[in-house]
Amino acid sequence: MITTRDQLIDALGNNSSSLVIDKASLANAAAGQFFSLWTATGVPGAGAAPGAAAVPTNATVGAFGFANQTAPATSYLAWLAVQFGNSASNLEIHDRLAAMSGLSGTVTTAQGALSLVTTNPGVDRIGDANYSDVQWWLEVYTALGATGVNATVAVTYNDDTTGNLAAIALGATPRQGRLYPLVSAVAGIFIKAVNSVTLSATTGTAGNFGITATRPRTSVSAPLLNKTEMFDWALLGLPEVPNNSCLQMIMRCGTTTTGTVRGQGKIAHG
Amino acid sequence: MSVFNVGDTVRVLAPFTESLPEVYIVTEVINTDDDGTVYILGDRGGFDAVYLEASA
Repeated sequence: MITTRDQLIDALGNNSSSLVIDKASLANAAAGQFFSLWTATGVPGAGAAPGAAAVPTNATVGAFGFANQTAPATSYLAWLAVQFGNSASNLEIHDRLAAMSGLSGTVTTAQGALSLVTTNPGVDRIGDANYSDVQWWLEVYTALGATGVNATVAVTYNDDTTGNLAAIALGATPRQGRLYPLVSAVAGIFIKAVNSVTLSATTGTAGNFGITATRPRTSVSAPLLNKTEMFDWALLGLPEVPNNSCLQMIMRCGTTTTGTVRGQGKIAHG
Repeated sequence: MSVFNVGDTVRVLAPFTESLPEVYIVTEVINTDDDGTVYILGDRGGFDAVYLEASA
Protein backbone atom coordinates (compact mmCIF):
# COMPACT_ATOMS: atom_id res chain seq x y z
CA MET A 1 0.00 0.00 0.00
CA ILE A 2 1.35 3.41 -0.97
CA THR A 3 1.12 5.80 1.96
CA THR A 4 3.99 8.24 1.44
CA ARG A 5 5.13 10.56 -1.32
CA ASP A 6 8.46 8.71 -1.52
CA GLN A 7 6.67 5.41 -2.13
CA LEU A 8 4.59 7.06 -4.83
CA ILE A 9 7.62 8.51 -6.62
CA ASP A 10 9.37 5.16 -6.44
CA ALA A 11 6.31 3.38 -7.82
CA LEU A 12 5.87 5.84 -10.69
CA GLY A 13 9.51 5.53 -11.66
CA ASN A 14 10.18 1.89 -10.98
CA ASN A 15 7.02 -0.12 -10.52
CA SER A 16 4.12 0.83 -12.73
CA SER A 17 1.97 -0.52 -15.54
CA SER A 18 1.71 1.70 -18.61
CA LEU A 19 -1.61 2.61 -20.15
CA VAL A 20 -1.96 3.47 -23.83
CA ILE A 21 -5.07 5.25 -25.11
CA ASP A 22 -5.96 5.60 -28.79
CA LYS A 23 -9.72 5.41 -29.21
CA ALA A 24 -11.72 6.29 -32.31
CA SER A 25 -14.67 8.62 -32.10
CA LEU A 26 -18.25 7.40 -31.82
CA ALA A 27 -20.83 9.37 -33.78
CA ASN A 28 -24.44 10.40 -33.24
CA ALA A 29 -23.99 11.74 -29.72
CA ALA A 30 -25.36 14.94 -28.23
CA ALA A 31 -24.02 17.33 -25.65
CA GLY A 32 -24.69 16.11 -22.16
CA GLN A 33 -25.09 12.47 -23.08
CA PHE A 34 -22.96 9.70 -21.60
CA PHE A 35 -21.23 7.44 -24.13
CA SER A 36 -19.29 4.29 -23.38
CA LEU A 37 -16.04 3.91 -25.29
CA TRP A 38 -16.12 0.16 -24.58
CA THR A 39 -16.95 -0.71 -28.20
CA ALA A 40 -14.95 2.09 -29.83
CA THR A 41 -12.10 0.77 -31.96
CA GLY A 42 -8.46 1.41 -31.16
CA VAL A 43 -6.46 0.88 -27.99
CA PRO A 44 -7.61 -0.71 -25.75
CA GLY A 45 -9.25 -2.86 -28.39
CA ALA A 46 -12.96 -2.71 -29.01
CA GLY A 47 -14.84 -4.58 -26.31
CA ALA A 48 -17.63 -6.94 -27.28
CA ALA A 49 -21.24 -7.04 -26.21
CA PRO A 50 -21.12 -9.48 -23.32
CA GLY A 51 -24.25 -11.53 -23.99
CA ALA A 52 -24.99 -13.42 -20.78
CA ALA A 53 -24.19 -11.70 -17.50
CA ALA A 54 -20.46 -11.71 -16.92
CA VAL A 55 -17.71 -10.11 -14.86
CA PRO A 56 -15.10 -8.57 -17.15
CA THR A 57 -11.54 -8.18 -15.91
CA ASN A 58 -8.28 -6.51 -16.87
CA ALA A 59 -7.75 -9.47 -19.23
CA THR A 60 -11.00 -8.84 -21.14
CA VAL A 61 -10.64 -7.27 -24.58
CA GLY A 62 -11.65 -3.65 -24.17
CA ALA A 63 -10.04 -3.18 -20.76
CA PHE A 64 -6.75 -1.53 -19.90
CA GLY A 65 -4.25 -4.23 -19.05
CA PHE A 66 -2.13 -3.97 -15.91
CA ALA A 67 -0.24 -6.26 -13.57
CA ASN A 68 -2.24 -7.67 -10.69
CA GLN A 69 -0.45 -7.34 -7.35
CA THR A 70 0.08 -9.64 -4.38
CA ALA A 71 -1.28 -8.15 -1.16
CA PRO A 72 -0.38 -5.98 0.60
CA ALA A 73 0.89 -4.42 -2.64
CA THR A 74 -1.83 -2.34 -4.27
CA SER A 75 -2.39 -0.53 -7.57
CA TYR A 76 -3.36 3.11 -8.07
CA LEU A 77 -4.16 5.22 -11.10
CA ALA A 78 -1.42 7.78 -10.62
CA TRP A 79 -0.73 9.68 -13.84
CA LEU A 80 -2.57 10.45 -17.07
CA ALA A 81 -1.76 12.51 -20.16
CA VAL A 82 -4.61 12.74 -22.63
CA GLN A 83 -5.51 14.61 -25.81
CA PHE A 84 -9.03 14.88 -27.18
CA GLY A 85 -10.34 15.48 -30.69
CA ASN A 86 -13.15 17.68 -29.34
CA SER A 87 -13.06 20.72 -27.14
CA ALA A 88 -14.86 20.55 -23.80
CA SER A 89 -14.29 16.82 -23.43
CA ASN A 90 -15.13 15.14 -20.16
CA LEU A 91 -13.63 11.71 -19.67
CA GLU A 92 -14.40 9.33 -16.83
CA ILE A 93 -12.57 6.10 -16.07
CA HIS A 94 -14.72 3.39 -14.53
CA ASP A 95 -14.18 -0.17 -13.39
CA ARG A 96 -16.64 -2.21 -15.45
CA LEU A 97 -17.94 -4.50 -12.72
CA ALA A 98 -20.50 -6.59 -14.56
CA ALA A 99 -22.53 -6.43 -17.75
CA MET A 100 -25.05 -8.28 -19.84
CA SER A 101 -26.52 -7.63 -23.28
CA GLY A 102 -28.88 -9.13 -25.82
CA LEU A 103 -31.92 -7.06 -24.91
CA SER A 104 -34.15 -6.12 -27.82
CA GLY A 105 -35.62 -2.81 -28.86
CA THR A 106 -38.71 -4.57 -30.17
CA VAL A 107 -39.67 -6.49 -27.03
CA THR A 108 -42.36 -4.84 -24.91
CA THR A 109 -42.43 -7.35 -22.08
CA ALA A 110 -39.98 -7.46 -19.18
CA GLN A 111 -36.50 -8.59 -20.26
CA GLY A 112 -33.00 -8.83 -18.85
CA ALA A 113 -31.49 -8.88 -15.39
CA LEU A 114 -28.13 -8.25 -13.77
CA SER A 115 -27.28 -8.75 -10.10
CA LEU A 116 -24.04 -7.87 -8.38
CA VAL A 117 -24.91 -10.53 -5.81
CA THR A 118 -24.83 -13.37 -8.31
CA THR A 119 -22.53 -11.76 -10.89
CA ASN A 120 -20.08 -10.60 -8.29
CA PRO A 121 -16.71 -9.05 -9.15
CA GLY A 122 -15.63 -9.10 -5.49
CA VAL A 123 -15.99 -6.75 -2.57
CA ASP A 124 -12.78 -4.88 -3.34
CA ARG A 125 -14.06 -3.88 -6.77
CA ILE A 126 -17.64 -3.09 -5.67
CA GLY A 127 -16.47 -0.75 -2.90
CA ASP A 128 -18.86 0.16 -0.10
CA ALA A 129 -20.91 -2.81 1.05
CA ASN A 130 -24.12 -0.83 0.54
CA TYR A 131 -23.42 -0.55 -3.22
CA SER A 132 -23.25 3.24 -3.00
CA ASP A 133 -20.07 3.26 -5.11
CA VAL A 134 -21.78 1.51 -8.02
CA GLN A 135 -23.19 3.29 -11.06
CA TRP A 136 -25.78 1.40 -13.11
CA TRP A 137 -26.51 1.97 -16.80
CA LEU A 138 -28.46 0.83 -19.80
CA GLU A 139 -25.79 0.45 -22.50
CA VAL A 140 -26.49 0.35 -26.24
CA TYR A 141 -24.32 -1.94 -28.37
CA THR A 142 -26.26 -1.77 -31.66
CA ALA A 143 -28.62 1.08 -32.46
CA LEU A 144 -32.28 0.67 -31.58
CA GLY A 145 -35.18 1.95 -33.67
CA ALA A 146 -36.41 5.41 -34.51
CA THR A 147 -39.49 5.43 -32.32
CA GLY A 148 -38.78 7.10 -29.02
CA VAL A 149 -40.01 4.95 -26.17
CA ASN A 150 -39.69 4.78 -22.39
CA ALA A 151 -37.91 2.17 -20.32
CA THR A 152 -38.97 1.21 -16.84
CA VAL A 153 -36.29 -0.56 -14.84
CA ALA A 154 -37.23 -2.78 -11.89
CA VAL A 155 -34.51 -3.04 -9.24
CA THR A 156 -33.60 -4.52 -5.89
CA TYR A 157 -32.00 -2.13 -3.42
CA ASN A 158 -29.33 -2.84 -0.83
CA ASP A 159 -31.99 -3.17 1.89
CA ASP A 160 -33.69 -5.88 -0.23
CA THR A 161 -36.69 -3.71 -1.04
CA THR A 162 -37.72 -3.57 -4.68
CA GLY A 163 -39.18 -0.92 -6.93
CA ASN A 164 -39.24 0.75 -10.31
CA LEU A 165 -36.89 3.56 -11.23
CA ALA A 166 -38.31 6.68 -12.85
CA ALA A 167 -39.12 5.93 -16.47
CA ILE A 168 -36.25 6.69 -18.83
CA ALA A 169 -37.03 8.34 -22.17
CA LEU A 170 -34.73 6.55 -24.61
CA GLY A 171 -35.40 9.00 -27.44
CA ALA A 172 -35.24 8.23 -31.14
CA THR A 173 -32.58 5.80 -32.35
CA PRO A 174 -30.36 5.21 -29.34
CA ARG A 175 -26.91 4.73 -30.84
CA GLN A 176 -23.95 2.45 -30.24
CA GLY A 177 -22.22 3.47 -27.04
CA ARG A 178 -25.10 5.41 -25.53
CA LEU A 179 -25.37 5.07 -21.79
CA TYR A 180 -28.49 5.85 -19.79
CA PRO A 181 -27.78 6.28 -16.07
CA LEU A 182 -29.98 4.25 -13.72
CA VAL A 183 -30.51 6.22 -10.53
CA SER A 184 -32.08 5.01 -7.29
CA ALA A 185 -35.63 6.25 -6.92
CA VAL A 186 -35.32 6.27 -3.13
CA ALA A 187 -32.91 8.55 -1.32
CA GLY A 188 -30.36 6.80 0.86
CA ILE A 189 -30.61 3.30 -0.59
CA PHE A 190 -28.70 1.94 -3.53
CA ILE A 191 -29.23 -0.50 -6.39
CA LYS A 192 -27.67 -3.94 -6.03
CA ALA A 193 -29.56 -5.68 -8.85
CA VAL A 194 -31.61 -4.86 -11.91
CA ASN A 195 -34.46 -7.34 -12.16
CA SER A 196 -35.94 -6.37 -15.52
CA VAL A 197 -36.21 -3.71 -18.19
CA THR A 198 -39.57 -3.02 -19.83
CA LEU A 199 -39.95 -0.87 -22.95
CA SER A 200 -43.22 1.00 -23.35
CA ALA A 201 -43.40 0.09 -27.05
CA THR A 202 -41.30 -1.31 -29.83
CA THR A 203 -38.64 1.07 -31.12
CA GLY A 204 -39.04 -0.58 -34.54
CA THR A 205 -35.58 -2.18 -34.57
CA ALA A 206 -34.23 -4.90 -32.29
CA GLY A 207 -30.70 -3.57 -32.02
CA ASN A 208 -28.85 -4.74 -28.94
CA PHE A 209 -28.66 -3.20 -25.52
CA GLY A 210 -27.94 -4.33 -22.02
CA ILE A 211 -27.37 -3.58 -18.38
CA THR A 212 -23.97 -2.51 -17.06
CA ALA A 213 -22.65 -1.84 -13.57
CA THR A 214 -19.52 0.27 -13.14
CA ARG A 215 -17.58 1.92 -10.36
CA PRO A 216 -16.29 5.41 -11.16
CA ARG A 217 -12.56 5.69 -10.46
CA THR A 218 -11.60 9.13 -11.76
CA SER A 219 -12.72 11.94 -14.02
CA VAL A 220 -10.80 14.46 -16.11
CA SER A 221 -11.75 17.30 -18.42
CA ALA A 222 -10.00 19.20 -21.18
CA PRO A 223 -11.14 22.59 -22.48
CA LEU A 224 -9.38 22.49 -25.85
CA LEU A 225 -9.08 19.95 -28.65
CA ASN A 226 -5.65 18.64 -29.65
CA LYS A 227 -3.92 20.02 -26.57
CA THR A 228 -2.51 17.39 -24.24
CA GLU A 229 -3.65 17.77 -20.67
CA MET A 230 -1.71 16.11 -17.87
CA PHE A 231 -3.17 14.90 -14.60
CA ASP A 232 -0.99 13.80 -11.70
CA TRP A 233 -1.91 11.55 -8.80
CA ALA A 234 -3.44 14.39 -6.81
CA LEU A 235 -5.66 15.58 -9.66
CA LEU A 236 -6.76 12.03 -10.33
CA GLY A 237 -7.53 11.45 -6.66
CA LEU A 238 -5.10 8.49 -6.59
CA PRO A 239 -7.92 5.97 -6.95
CA GLU A 240 -7.10 2.43 -5.92
CA VAL A 241 -7.32 -0.09 -8.75
CA PRO A 242 -8.11 -3.51 -7.24
CA ASN A 243 -6.75 -6.62 -8.92
CA ASN A 244 -8.72 -7.63 -12.02
CA SER A 245 -10.37 -4.20 -12.38
CA CYS A 246 -11.79 -3.76 -15.87
CA LEU A 247 -10.93 -0.13 -16.48
CA GLN A 248 -12.89 1.46 -19.29
CA MET A 249 -13.52 5.00 -20.51
CA ILE A 250 -16.83 6.84 -20.51
CA MET A 251 -17.30 10.18 -22.23
CA ARG A 252 -19.68 12.87 -21.06
CA CYS A 253 -20.14 14.37 -24.49
CA GLY A 254 -19.78 18.07 -25.19
CA THR A 255 -20.89 17.81 -28.80
CA THR A 256 -22.24 15.41 -31.45
CA THR A 257 -19.39 12.90 -31.29
CA THR A 258 -17.24 11.44 -28.54
CA GLY A 259 -14.16 12.61 -30.42
CA THR A 260 -10.89 10.78 -30.61
CA VAL A 261 -9.07 10.13 -27.35
CA ARG A 262 -5.31 9.60 -27.30
CA GLY A 263 -2.88 9.50 -24.44
CA GLN A 264 -0.97 7.49 -21.92
CA GLY A 265 -1.00 6.82 -18.23
CA LYS A 266 0.54 4.91 -15.37
CA ILE A 267 -0.90 2.58 -12.77
CA ALA A 268 1.50 2.69 -9.85
CA HIS A 269 2.08 -0.44 -7.79
CA GLY A 270 3.31 -0.60 -4.25
CA MET B 1 -56.19 -4.71 -26.41
CA SER B 2 -57.64 -1.36 -27.35
CA VAL B 3 -57.05 0.67 -30.45
CA PHE B 4 -56.64 4.37 -30.07
CA ASN B 5 -56.81 7.28 -32.44
CA VAL B 6 -55.15 10.65 -32.57
CA GLY B 7 -56.89 12.93 -30.10
CA ASP B 8 -57.97 10.16 -27.72
CA THR B 9 -57.22 10.69 -24.04
CA VAL B 10 -55.51 7.81 -22.27
CA ARG B 11 -53.97 6.75 -19.00
CA VAL B 12 -50.67 4.90 -18.83
CA LEU B 13 -50.65 1.49 -17.13
CA ALA B 14 -48.07 -0.25 -14.92
CA PRO B 15 -45.12 -0.34 -14.82
CA PHE B 16 -45.12 3.18 -16.23
CA THR B 17 -47.88 4.62 -14.04
CA GLU B 18 -45.60 5.96 -11.32
CA SER B 19 -43.68 8.12 -13.75
CA LEU B 20 -46.63 9.06 -15.97
CA PRO B 21 -49.67 9.37 -13.70
CA GLU B 22 -51.66 11.96 -15.68
CA VAL B 23 -54.12 11.80 -18.56
CA TYR B 24 -52.41 12.17 -21.93
CA ILE B 25 -53.55 12.76 -25.51
CA VAL B 26 -52.56 10.49 -28.37
CA THR B 27 -50.77 12.81 -30.77
CA GLU B 28 -49.66 10.33 -33.41
CA VAL B 29 -50.05 6.69 -34.35
CA ILE B 30 -46.99 5.03 -35.89
CA ASN B 31 -46.67 1.70 -37.64
CA THR B 32 -43.10 0.58 -37.08
CA ASP B 33 -40.77 -1.43 -39.30
CA ASP B 34 -41.42 -4.55 -37.24
CA ASP B 35 -45.19 -4.27 -37.82
CA GLY B 36 -45.85 -2.80 -34.41
CA THR B 37 -48.28 0.00 -33.66
CA VAL B 38 -47.04 2.71 -31.35
CA TYR B 39 -49.16 5.45 -29.84
CA ILE B 40 -47.23 8.67 -29.32
CA LEU B 41 -48.19 10.77 -26.31
CA GLY B 42 -46.52 14.00 -27.37
CA ASP B 43 -43.11 14.44 -25.76
CA ARG B 44 -43.86 11.54 -23.39
CA GLY B 45 -42.83 9.14 -26.14
CA GLY B 46 -44.37 6.02 -27.61
CA PHE B 47 -46.48 3.35 -25.95
CA ASP B 48 -47.83 -0.01 -26.95
CA ALA B 49 -51.58 -0.47 -26.56
CA VAL B 50 -51.00 -2.94 -23.72
CA TYR B 51 -49.71 -0.08 -21.57
CA LEU B 52 -52.62 2.28 -22.29
CA GLU B 53 -56.27 2.47 -21.31
CA ALA B 54 -58.91 4.92 -22.41
CA SER B 55 -59.45 7.76 -19.97
CA ALA B 56 -63.00 8.03 -18.66
